[in-house]
Amino acid sequence: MFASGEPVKLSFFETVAGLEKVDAEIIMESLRDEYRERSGGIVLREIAGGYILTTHEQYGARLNEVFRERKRETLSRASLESLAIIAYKQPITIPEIDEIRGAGSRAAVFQLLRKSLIKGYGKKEVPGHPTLYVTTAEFLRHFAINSLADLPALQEIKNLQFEDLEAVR
Amino acid sequence: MVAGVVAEPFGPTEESGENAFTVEWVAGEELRKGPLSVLWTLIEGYQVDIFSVSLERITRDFIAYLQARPALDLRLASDFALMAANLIYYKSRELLPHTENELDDGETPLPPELVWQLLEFKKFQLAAARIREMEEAAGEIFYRPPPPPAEPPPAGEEPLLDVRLMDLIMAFSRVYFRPDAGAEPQKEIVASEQFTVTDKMDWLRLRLATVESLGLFELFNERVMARLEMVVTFLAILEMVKQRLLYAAQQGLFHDIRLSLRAAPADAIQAAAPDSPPGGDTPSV
Repeated sequence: MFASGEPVKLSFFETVAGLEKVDAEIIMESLRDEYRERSGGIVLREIAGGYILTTHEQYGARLNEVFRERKRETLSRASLESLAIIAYKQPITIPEIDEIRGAGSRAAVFQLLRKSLIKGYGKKEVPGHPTLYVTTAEFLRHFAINSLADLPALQEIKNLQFEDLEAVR
Repeated sequence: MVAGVVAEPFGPTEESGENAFTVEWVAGEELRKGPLSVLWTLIEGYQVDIFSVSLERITRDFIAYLQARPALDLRLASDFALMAANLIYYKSRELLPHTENELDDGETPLPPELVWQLLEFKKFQLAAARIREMEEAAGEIFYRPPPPPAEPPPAGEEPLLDVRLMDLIMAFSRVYFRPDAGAEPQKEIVASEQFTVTDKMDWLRLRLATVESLGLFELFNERVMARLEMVVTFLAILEMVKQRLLYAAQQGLFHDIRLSLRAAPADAIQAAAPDSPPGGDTPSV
């Protein structure tokens, strides 16, 4: 894991160490717990379907100072909204995204494409055959989650009090 | 520095007996809010729940907001115009006799389709905020980037990177948008040359038959092409890649993209196969 620089799939360990899937999982779990308990600089995480050694989040601020050049561009509001919509409703077309956002989303979607956070995945069988968009493995990596199931559940807004809405402003 | 306006609730006034609005100058981000965002800002200002909002009031305030705004981001202008038109349409619908429920003060509530649209939007607005938090949290952890290859490849072999569609497009736009690139068809000549994708595909096949590979930049630099010709040629390249007749590879991140014919049997021409399932890796070209 340390050598590869990419998340390592469980199957790799199964093959190389000659383990059954269940055993490999158990070993990885205990390894992960060990690292956590140690409270050291390195922890084991599952990102984008593989295991990877990363720094502990508590050192984030310090490390950001050190690696200032590695600061990533953050997304614009329109791109973020579009990305959220795609993430939860994929596969989805640009006109559908426009309808939810109430605003044109082409530029935002292209920005997301350029960053490889989304990709086209077939076309919808309606007049015009618009492209369907889905999120990519890069999306998982960028947000450091293991799979789409790790996205927070969508909150249905039935009886929101206005105090709750303040939080979003 | 770009400035815009935002509407804030002010307080009851004598004439209307309800909240009037004052305007404030806000910079940057505020300007790029879409119409649904603005509607929510107004609703939050009223401090009532969404089912008690008066249609007349929000329409009036929304249009006032638009009129008060000196600078509207042009890309959003049509979206705002559409929302304003919709609001007025809903109002006009209310003129027809109906037995819908009314609000306490005799005013009409928002129509269900608008409420639904607002709620859906709010759902994703919240989701976007959460995703932003995740992005920040992800910015707090670091991991080792893949190490460079340990040894240089054996002489004669070139390591090739997979070329993605985006790379092809970026490379072509670099060539196309150069100031000296391409010639405009001369206006005196009435019959201009016709360029078709099929012709260009044949031309590419010919060009690549004699050489092992050809660089994208080389291809477009060989002679001055009309801009239309450049576009058609690029489309031909894309079509041939899609049909698996052509192979595109890159030696390094900023190297030229090299094109070569695939040694393809006739049945290699397939319909573009679906990409790997969502969440998987981007396919290589």
